[in-house]
Amino acid sequence: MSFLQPLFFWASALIIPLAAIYFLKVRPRRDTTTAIFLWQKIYQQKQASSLLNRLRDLLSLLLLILAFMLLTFAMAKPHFVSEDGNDLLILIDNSASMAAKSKTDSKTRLQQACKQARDIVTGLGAGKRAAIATVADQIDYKSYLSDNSKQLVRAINEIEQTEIAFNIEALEKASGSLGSQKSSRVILISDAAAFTVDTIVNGETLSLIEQDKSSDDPNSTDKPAIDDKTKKPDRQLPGGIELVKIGSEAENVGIVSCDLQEVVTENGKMSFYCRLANSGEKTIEADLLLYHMDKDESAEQLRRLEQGQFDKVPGRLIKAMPATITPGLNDPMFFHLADNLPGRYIVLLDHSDATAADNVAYLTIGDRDPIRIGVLNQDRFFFEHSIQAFSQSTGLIELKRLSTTDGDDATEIFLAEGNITPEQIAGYETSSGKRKFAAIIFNPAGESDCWTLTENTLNADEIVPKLIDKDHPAIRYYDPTVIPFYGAKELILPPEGQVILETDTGVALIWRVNSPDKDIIVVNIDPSQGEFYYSPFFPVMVYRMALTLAGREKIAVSTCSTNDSLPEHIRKTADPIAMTTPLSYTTESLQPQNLPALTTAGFYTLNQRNQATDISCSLLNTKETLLNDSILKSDAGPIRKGHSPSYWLTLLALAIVATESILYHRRKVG
Amino acid sequence: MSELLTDAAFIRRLESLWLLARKVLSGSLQSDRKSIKKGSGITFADYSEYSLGDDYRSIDWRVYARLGTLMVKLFEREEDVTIYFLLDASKSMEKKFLLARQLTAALGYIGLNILDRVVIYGLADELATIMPKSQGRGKALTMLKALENAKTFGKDSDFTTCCKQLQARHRQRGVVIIASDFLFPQGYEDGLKLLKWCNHDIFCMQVMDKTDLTSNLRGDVDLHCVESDRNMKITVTPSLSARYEATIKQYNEDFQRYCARQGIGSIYTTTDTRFDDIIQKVLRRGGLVA
Repeated sequence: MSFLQPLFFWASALIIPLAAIYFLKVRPRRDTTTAIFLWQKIYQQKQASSLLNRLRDLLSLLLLILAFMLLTFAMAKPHFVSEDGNDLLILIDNSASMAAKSKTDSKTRLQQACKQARDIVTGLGAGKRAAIATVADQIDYKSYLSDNSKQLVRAINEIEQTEIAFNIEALEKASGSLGSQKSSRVILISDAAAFTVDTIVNGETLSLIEQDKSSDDPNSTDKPAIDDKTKKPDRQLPGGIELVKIGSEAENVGIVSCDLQEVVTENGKMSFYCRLANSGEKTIEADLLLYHMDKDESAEQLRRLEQGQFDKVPGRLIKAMPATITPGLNDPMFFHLADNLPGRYIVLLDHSDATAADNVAYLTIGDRDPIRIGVLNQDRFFFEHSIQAFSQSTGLIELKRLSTTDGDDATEIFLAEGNITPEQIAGYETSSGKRKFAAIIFNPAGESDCWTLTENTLNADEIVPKLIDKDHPAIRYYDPTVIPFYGAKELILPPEGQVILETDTGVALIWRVNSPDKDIIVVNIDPSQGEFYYSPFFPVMVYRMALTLAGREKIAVSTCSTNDSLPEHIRKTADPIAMTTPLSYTTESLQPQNLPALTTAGFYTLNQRNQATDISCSLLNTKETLLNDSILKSDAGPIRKGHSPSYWLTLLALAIVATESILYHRRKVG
Repeated sequence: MSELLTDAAFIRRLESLWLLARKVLSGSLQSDRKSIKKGSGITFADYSEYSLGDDYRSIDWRVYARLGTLMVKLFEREEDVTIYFLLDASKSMEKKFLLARQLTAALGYIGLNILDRVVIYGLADELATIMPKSQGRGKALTMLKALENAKTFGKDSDFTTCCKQLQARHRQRGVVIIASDFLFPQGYEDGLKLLKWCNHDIFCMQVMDKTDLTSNLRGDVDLHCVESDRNMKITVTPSLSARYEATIKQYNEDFQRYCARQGIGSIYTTTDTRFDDIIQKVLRRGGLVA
């Protein structure tokens, strides 16, 4: 046995004043008698027990000294040297599935995990330290390494439930960084819901989990274990992390994916998509309800929904659909809505189960805000028609007549032939400053920092286009290699030029120059030649390039998952954003590229240039809903729980003091 | 009750007791107390053979004429008696001192009224004179003042020594009335034996206070003896308290039994009893008899 703080043994010197205080305490009260000889006579008769009486005060003092020595010993924090390392990192899973509470449990899984953590922390032997961290999509440290159990318990008590899905990669990163410390152990307290088996439904693998057997495991074989026909091998925890699994089987159904989109081809109609999952073994009948809500519904009412209080749903019920939810992941559900109402929607699975958060999904259909495209060309006709072709059908782009007085409604993307000089775009500024210059330029000419022309012109018949970036959004949905590039010129690109398409001789045909002050896509073609203006490629090319430059190349989803970042077209804007979370917290002046991830289910409001945009966020995670599919078992080694030797020594000392006090009191009262 | 022994109310109560004494004892209290000594009285008592030194005048010549033997007539000698009051003035009597003085005053008053000689001593570690030998009604007030001014004194009261001192001062037999709690560490037996040996008529008035008889002590106590100034550290449990009460009760009973065995008159009283009730009880019992 060794002592962490042997200096506390100097506290033994306090025995002297302690003895003085004791003797003061035991000083008897004075009383008088007229017949002391009678008392003497009585005590002579009691002589048999006089030895014990003489020793009684001494015994009492010895008891107190023993108690004091025990306290001194406790303060010195004795500990037993063990081989299991000195430092513990306790990772507490606070992902969405940890809110589950089965009918047999009185506490949620997170509460159970916190209790386990508290037990470990209070049993922390002297010389051992622990750190507390939560893990969901990333590791969030709640305390530094400390041997102060009170501080650690406080850190545990501050842990809050999140609505974020568990991200195994975060754990792997942590394992990598912690694995180098040999003297430490990493304990994960979790329901391990993220470590579900791969379930195959209709030929689709739903969770991308692969076998990761440790190579140094003597029992490992090349052939991984197979649970049954529908399950893939289980995934091991990252090396060095021990699992303390908590939570019993719970019946849970939930919405695992959901979307609501306008049907482009059918004006005014919307299509709803939803997929449900059931973690139990019984088929469950429940209603799927779709509400359209007003913007001013309070966040508090939404909170109540996530807590399973469906008695008062804010908004107007526009669709109710009975759902039969079979065990496991169910087939998708679709239905159409006749009314195309922009705004906020709530999808509610009306069923009481282990977790309420996955029974609600939030959807947003935004007001259309078309991309404003201005034509900077003398010959405007074909260019304007190419824009109008898609503005009427999709409404995503819009022809903008150029004006220097437009302010915030100024042109976003310029369309031109030849070149665009700074003088041409001077004055097109927003109220908050100059906007990043974006343009689509056909038939490059003149001097520009986006190209350097040579004297040669390419022969269109000899051009063999070659895709350099075949997945680039600017060329999605059409094949640019079949376009005859009449009028293409030989040129040299600047270093920041990103080639999308080039000739087999290396001359760029389509490229993008994206620098801090400009974002330009250049097409090395003379559209007036070869009747390219009449080609269907021309408006499609303009449309796709405009969407790419505006950052809207992807279809905007009506809801995001809780781990997602904000959509890219928002992050690519330049103006600062004020962001209001579903909990009504507002953060002003956020830079779009630094916007925080969406961590809370509900409706976010982004305010940029006095224009509010709604972004909805929902849990929507199969693993967090299918609670019972984890096949990982607890594999943590023995962990010391309960109280430390110091605690027991202190308790023993207090018991001795109490006993002595009772004995003393008994003497006082006779 | 007032502690003054000279106030009119107290004296009136003494007078009442004196009248009661006259009535109860049928007027035989005049200093005509019959003595067992044969002497020069007028009441014939017995005959005795003449021995050398006898008064010739007491020879009954008629008997000599008839029997031829010199016989002398013996008469009961009528004498006044000295009453010795031994008033316990030790420190242990603080709470009982008033009653003891009142009892002494009452009996002394009666004694002075029947023309006996009365002498009062304080009893502690030694004998201290409270009132020297006095006789006659005129000394009653002097006696009361002396008792009123009497204080407790001394340390470690010693009854035997005091009895020896009494005997040394007064060879004449008499009536010894002792007012005390008789809580003498060295015991009371030797002193009483000495007085008895000196042919004194002894009457013991044992005066106790209820605090002497009970113990309210609990726990660790540094017990201080008011009389001897000695200390004793003890731990008093309820059983020990009960044992103390039983012990002092047994002590008192032993004392009363001892007096009865020795032919010593005694009475036991506590401070919550009025002194005149005690005196009346004594008188109605027939006087200071065993």
